[in-house]
Parts: sequence; structure tokens; C-alpha cells
Amino acid sequence: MTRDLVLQAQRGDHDAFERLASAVLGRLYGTASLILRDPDAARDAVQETLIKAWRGLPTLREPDAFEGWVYRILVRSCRSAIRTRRRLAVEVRQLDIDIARPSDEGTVDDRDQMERAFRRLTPEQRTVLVLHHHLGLPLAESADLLGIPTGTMKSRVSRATAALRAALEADARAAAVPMEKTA
Amino acid sequence: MSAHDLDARLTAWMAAAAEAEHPPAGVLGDVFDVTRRSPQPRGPWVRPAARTADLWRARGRAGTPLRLLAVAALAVTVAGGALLAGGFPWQPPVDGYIAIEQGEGYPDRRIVLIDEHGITRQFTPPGVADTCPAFSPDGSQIAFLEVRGESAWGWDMELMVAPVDNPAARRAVAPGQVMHQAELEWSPDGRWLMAYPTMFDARGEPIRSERRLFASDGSGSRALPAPLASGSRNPVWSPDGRWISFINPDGLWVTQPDGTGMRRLAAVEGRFRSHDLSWSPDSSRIAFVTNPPDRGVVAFEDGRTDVFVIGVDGTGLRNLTNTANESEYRPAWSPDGTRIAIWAANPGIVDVETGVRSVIPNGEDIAAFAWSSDGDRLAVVRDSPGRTVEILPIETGGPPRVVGRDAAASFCRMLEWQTQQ
Repeated sequence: MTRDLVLQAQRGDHDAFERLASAVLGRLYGTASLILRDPDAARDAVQETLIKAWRGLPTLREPDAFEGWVYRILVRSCRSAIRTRRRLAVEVRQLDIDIARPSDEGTVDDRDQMERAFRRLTPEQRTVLVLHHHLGLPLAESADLLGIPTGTMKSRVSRATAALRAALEADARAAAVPMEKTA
Repeated sequence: MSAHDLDARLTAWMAAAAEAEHPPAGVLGDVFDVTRRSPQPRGPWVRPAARTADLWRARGRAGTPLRLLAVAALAVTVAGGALLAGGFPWQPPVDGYIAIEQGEGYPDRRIVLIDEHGITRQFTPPGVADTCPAFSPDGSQIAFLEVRGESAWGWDMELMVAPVDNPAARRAVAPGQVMHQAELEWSPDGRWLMAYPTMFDARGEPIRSERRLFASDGSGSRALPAPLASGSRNPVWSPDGRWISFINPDGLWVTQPDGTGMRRLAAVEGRFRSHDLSWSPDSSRIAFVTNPPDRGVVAFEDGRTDVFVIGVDGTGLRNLTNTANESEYRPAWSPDGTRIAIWAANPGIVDVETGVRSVIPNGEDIAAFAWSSDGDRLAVVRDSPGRTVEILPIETGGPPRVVGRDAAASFCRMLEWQTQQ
């Protein structure tokens, strides 16, 4: 089904492309949100990705590889967004207020804890973890996408994982600090 | 929390977090407003000159044309090379050079030649980035891709050739044509190079890519038959030059370069990677990788792919490794045709006739290998700190010899050993 739609879209069929885009929109947006942690930037990245996908579809050699291909464009768009934000110096540092605030019940929800820890990572660290854990790309493929050696990709995944672990541990420690000490 | 627990927790959280994000209304409407007004680009082969000029500008060095840097660097290399390398032309070592890539990412990627004594020569001059080296069949030249810049579509590269003994004499094989990052394949007579150019329309938008043959002397190019031109993978020329084998979604195929005699040799299943076809030196058989049908269609990481051998006439299909719990791939036929080196969790060498497998000691971290032209040694790259290049004396025995370091991973072959005539 997807293959047929891709082949039709490659021949310029707008309806086929729109069905393809609708099918992948949710996953693309979810992935962009993971990397960018910013709804507006994620929306822009997804829109840019789909427009590039439309224009680039005739260059796609393997119709079956459509989804992987469009994810590659998405990651490039996200990286471009990260670079642009950095260049314009408008990237807003997340103030991890939540990290120093114990939850009302004295317990920290596991999912929120991961959310806060993940948000503390740099965009590059989030990107490698999303490529590796969310998109499930092999190291060599992720490295190729980022234009770095596989060994470097492996060490970046390792460093990002270590940073995530450190953030989780910091979160756990902060949760135990009395409110007045952080005020 | 163990590393495994953290990975599992992160993966589960990502899946849930991504699913919980709902795209705002109107996202697709805005996209379709653009795409409906924007027909897909169709057009000529060659990238417009203005676009190429843009690509020469190095990233992060706005306003400094990379070509000027490259020309200057080449001049410096030519002048300084006589001091550093004992003068041009270089004298290739008796046992041939090993070519590897070094450098973090493409903007800094370079090709380096190493001899068996560990003496290193920089093939790529300063200020230029190269990738995907491939020695010509007679060992006298190297084809490679010069990295020109990064566009929204990926890395833009140009097909180049240079004499091994005089890398400063590099020349473009297809000036102005942008190549996909893909392995380069020489015809056995050295006259043709198989590469993957991208076509652009007049506005500089890529429209499609098709594999083509380029005359290595730069005199022209010719088309390849479908599906070899597009939609297929891993084309490899038979050593006698008669056939090109390739992987199609439905199997292993061979064809003559003009499309004559195209036929499917075997159905294949599962996923494939580059490097997964290898011809016997006498051009009578092909080693390839697939999932045995009784194990289902799965990813090769799951431990279910084996190396098979089949005759070019379609007879003699045989599972050479036949391991249910280990994946083997990247077969590489030895120059004398008696053995096949295979990549696996425990890489080894399989005797083609008996199927007896010799495991390479401490080979777990081997990421790539190449045979010496006499078949006595294997050059390997280890995927471990230092990323060493080592020579393994597999025939005579003895310790591995480290001849190089910092070999970069590459989409193409990670190392090549120069053929000696």
C-alpha cells in the first residue's frame, strides 16, 4: 500500500502524497518534539520535512524505504533548526524549576522525571538518543546521517546516556532537598 | 539502575512521549498549500553552475571559496610533498598501500595511505575532504568522492580520480555532477567507474538519482539498464568483466553491463547491507547473504542470516555457514578462491570446499577487513579505542601488527588494499 502510494507520489500525484503525509505526520511530529522540546520548532521542522519530501520524492531510490528516508529529512531539519536557534542566540535555556521542587506527594512520577532529565540534555544529545532508541537506527546508519564515524556515534550515545543518568540522579537528589534551601 | 534498565526505560518513555504529542491543527493544510502550488522538479542531469559554486563555499567559512583553498592546498602539498614524502612520484610499497579514511565527519574527512611498515601518507591535501577510496584494478589509481558541501538533501560529492603515486594530480571524472555517497565500483579493465549521480532541475532542486557508468578518463558516461540503474543495491562487477551482480528486492540478479542476459539467480529475503556480495576470483560463483527461508524474514541483527554461494549459471546454491544463532555477512573471497572471510560476532575464514570455519582470535571488534593480493594476510580495522589498522598473518601465524590508527567508519568500504599486478 505504502509502496504504491510512494510510486504514485513520485509521479507527481498530490493525493497520494497527501495520504502518505497524513499517515506519517503523527510520528514525525512526535519525533521532532522529542528532539527539539519546542512545539513551534517541531511544527516548523515537520512542515519543512514534508515539503522537502514532496520535492525530493523523485530522488528516492527505494519506495519501500520511504519512512526511513523521510525520518532522515526530519532529523536534518531538526539539526538545522538547532543550528539556527544557536546562531540567532535565541535558544532559551530551560530553567529546571521542577527539578528542585518536591512533588506534592513527596514522590516523583517516573515519566515526569524522565521528561525533566531528557529536557536537560543538549539538543545534540537528544538527537543521538532519539536516533538510537526511538527510531532504532543502527549505529552505522545514525553515524552516516550525522556525518560522523560509527565509533564517534557510539561514544556520543554513551555520553548522552551518561548525561541522562546524571540528570536523573540530580533530579532524585534535588527532590530530597527542602524547599527553603532552593528558594 | 542498570544500563539495560535505563535503556529500556528511556525507549518506553520516548515511545509514550512521542505518541502523546499531537500535531497542531493546520500543519498539513499549510504543507499542502505549498506542495499543491509546487510541482515536483523535473529536469536535466547536471547541477547548474551557480549551485555548484555555492557548494564550494565551505561550511562555517562564509565567503571563502573552498576551491581556492583546495587549489592553494594542492600547491602547498605539491611543494611540500617532496620534502615530506621523499618526492613525487611516490614509490608504492611492494605489498601495496592500504587505504583508510580518517577525520571526524565529512568536513574533515581525508584518505590516508598506509604501508605494511606503518608509514602513512596523506592522500588528501589540507583543506579538502575526500571519502570512499577505491583502487583501480591495476592498482595505479584511486577513485574517490571529494566532499563539496552539505545541502538539505545530504552531502554533495564529486567523482575524482588520482594516480596513487601522485595524489596532487587529482581530476574530476564528471565535472559538475553531484554524486550520492555510495561505493565506487571499477570495471575490471579500469575503463569505467560505476557511480550514483543526482539529477537537478534548472532551479538546483534534485529530482532523482540513477547509477551510471563514467569513463575513468573523463570522456563521458553511459546509462545502465533498469533496475540496476535505480532500485537495486550492491552492484559488483565480476572479475572477468562480463557480469554485474546486484540485489533487487526480490533476489540476487546478474546482468551484462548493457542489460544482456539479465536474470535472477536466487530469491533472497531479509535485509541487506553494502559489501554483501563477493565474486569468486574466477567469476564462476557469487557469495551473498540472506535469511534461510525456514527462519523467517527477519533483520540480520537477529542472528539468522547466513552466507550462501551460488554459481553464475544459477546452479550449486549452498549455505556456506548455516548457523541458526549467529549472523554472518560481508563475505570477501580470497584472491586464490579457496576461502571466504566473513564478518560475524566472531569473524572468521571459511574454507569454500569443506565449509570448515576458522575463527579469528580476538576478532570480536573487527569492523572491516581486506585481503592482501597474495591471500596470506588480512588487513583489519578494529572498532575499539584507537580504531587501529592491523595486519593479521593468517597463513604464517604470529601476532597482529598495528600499522595505523584512527580509521574512520565509512559508508563505503572502511579499508582497501591496493592490488599488486
